[in-house]
Amino acid sequence: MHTYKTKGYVLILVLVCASIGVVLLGGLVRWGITDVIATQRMSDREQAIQIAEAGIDYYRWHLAHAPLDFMDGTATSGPYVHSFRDKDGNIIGDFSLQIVPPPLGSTVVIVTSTGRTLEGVQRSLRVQFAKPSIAKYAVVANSMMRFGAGTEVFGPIHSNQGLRFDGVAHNLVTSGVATYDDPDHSGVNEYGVHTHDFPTDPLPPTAVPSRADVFEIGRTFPVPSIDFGGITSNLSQLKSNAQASGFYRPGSGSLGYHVVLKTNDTFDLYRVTSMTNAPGGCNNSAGQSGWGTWSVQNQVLLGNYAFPSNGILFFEDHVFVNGQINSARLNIVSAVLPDNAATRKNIIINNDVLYTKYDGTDTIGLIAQGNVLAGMVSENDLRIDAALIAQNGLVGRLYYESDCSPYDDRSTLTLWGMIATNLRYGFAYTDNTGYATRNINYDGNLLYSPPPGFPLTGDQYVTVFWEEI
Amino acid sequence: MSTIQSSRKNLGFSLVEILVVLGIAVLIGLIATKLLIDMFSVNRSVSASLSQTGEGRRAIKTMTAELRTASPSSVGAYALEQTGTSSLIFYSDIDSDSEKERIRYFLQSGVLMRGVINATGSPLVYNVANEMRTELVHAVKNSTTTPLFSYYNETYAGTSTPLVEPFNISVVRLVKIYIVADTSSSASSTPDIYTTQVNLRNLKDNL
Repeated sequence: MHTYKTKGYVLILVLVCASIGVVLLGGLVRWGITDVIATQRMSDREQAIQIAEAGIDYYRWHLAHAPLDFMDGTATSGPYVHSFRDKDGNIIGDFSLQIVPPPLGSTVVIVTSTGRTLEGVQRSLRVQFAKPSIAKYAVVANSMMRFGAGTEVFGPIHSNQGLRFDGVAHNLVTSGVATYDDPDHSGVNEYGVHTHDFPTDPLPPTAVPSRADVFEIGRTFPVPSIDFGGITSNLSQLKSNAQASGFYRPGSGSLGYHVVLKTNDTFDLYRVTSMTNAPGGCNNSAGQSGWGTWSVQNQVLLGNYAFPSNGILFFEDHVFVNGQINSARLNIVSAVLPDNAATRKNIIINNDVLYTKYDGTDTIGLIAQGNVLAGMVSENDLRIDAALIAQNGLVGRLYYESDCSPYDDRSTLTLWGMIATNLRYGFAYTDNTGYATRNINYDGNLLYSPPPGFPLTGDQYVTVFWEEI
Repeated sequence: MSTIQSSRKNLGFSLVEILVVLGIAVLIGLIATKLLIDMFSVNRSVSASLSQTGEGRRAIKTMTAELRTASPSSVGAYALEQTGTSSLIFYSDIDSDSEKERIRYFLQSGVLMRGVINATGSPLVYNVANEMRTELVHAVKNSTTTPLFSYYNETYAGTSTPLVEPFNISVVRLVKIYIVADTSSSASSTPDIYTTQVNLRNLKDNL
């Protein structure tokens, strides 16, 4: 009798253990199967994104050959569906393209490509193509440049001539020349982009060291030059755009215009009738061309105008600019065409030019045929939110010596934008006049959406932004 | 008869019988114990390996998605900031807020970590103190001959060797991620390898 009872216990034990085992192992098997399915799904998803990319590549190729066709060679508005085949010609999916043509004054094309596999797995990509504008640089110059120790620049830097850089660059530094003779010190030619940050770069033809502490991303030279002269044709295009659907004014018949931007999408326009007199003894001791106080003394209000639909304001005279915008995209140009060295005009900023939104919604371009200047009576703490181009002159402040007191020493200049200057730029002088602190910040949004009609640096569309949606 | 009967009642088990029964009982007990132990240890190791597979797969998926869209930072810095063999710093908009985050993948005591910095302030600044770290893959066992990250330039055609330090970051077009992970403590086990190659789409400059 006893033996019968004990037998039963073992059986129960085995049954319990076995069922626990089955449950656990069953769970594991199911987990394993899920894993395999997940891998299969991952492979399908990968295929879908590759198909979507093929669609993007296809349209970039299309744009390279038909730059103005945003309808995929059809006359309909899309979406445009193309089959996608494997190497044997079997259809393994399709991609569907949606194309948003660039708005007026812009070159940004937005292409959305949805790749689908035969299993119905789909993924979408959105890519922005654009012809690169000059605003892709934080600083671009047509003459030799020198960035001192302590300078930290985030955007790309380019000079058509040599470039000496002793700060920290978080982006590419390029030059149009292989070697040049830096006038700041004697000796033989040095590399197109070189640093004197210890240890000073060796002279050519010794190999260029990497110097990741100065050039974080690297330096490239020589590279093709940026054509400053070519901006003239942009100016004439901007003039006709301004006359067509922008805001255009010929010469003021006086000393220039004063534009005060407002956050309600309008601006006050003044005619400048006299400029501030320089204090006694304050004169052009450095012999700079076009020296003056460049500060408004008297002006006459001409009216209040709405921002034009295409955002282009063109004045054939000097323009003083200040004020603040909110959700506006403007390009203010000062030029007299045809271009003549004697009649080149300046843009002057003596008071803050401000954005309200710093996410790329607000943009101001200031293009002067001559200089972009901060005048003598410029704010002690001046902030400029704009992309600046001085086509034939300089971006900076003229030399106001100590006799110009209290206007000789200024405290802080903050720029949020970019600088394109023909001549060496500078807001400070070695005798400590000018702006003691200069914060040059590159506005990363300019990369994707420069101000309307901003000069381009290439004819081909390039990918400016790629994202999965 | 009665004598025999009574003698049979008092007989009991012989030593041999007891030994055999005990032997069988011990055997059954051992088998049952072994089964139980195996069950739990198999469960443990399989679930560890499955969860690690999931971890590896998720890490590769995240890293691919983030790295593919690497683009210049919100203050204009280049898309890639640092390209090391076991660390990588780049900028990418991973939360669709139109601002780029600074992303850092790095190894910390055998764990592949991901640090994210959101740009703050006006003008924007990437403050290293604001880095938020998460763990991506545990028990990473990459050696010096199997770098976590290797980099290729635009001439990469599938078989070329990676760029050798020091190189200009600006030439990098493709990043290979190679994660060797092994949760098992036994020396004989084969480590899991998760690898992929990521083409930096926003740096692509050839058609």
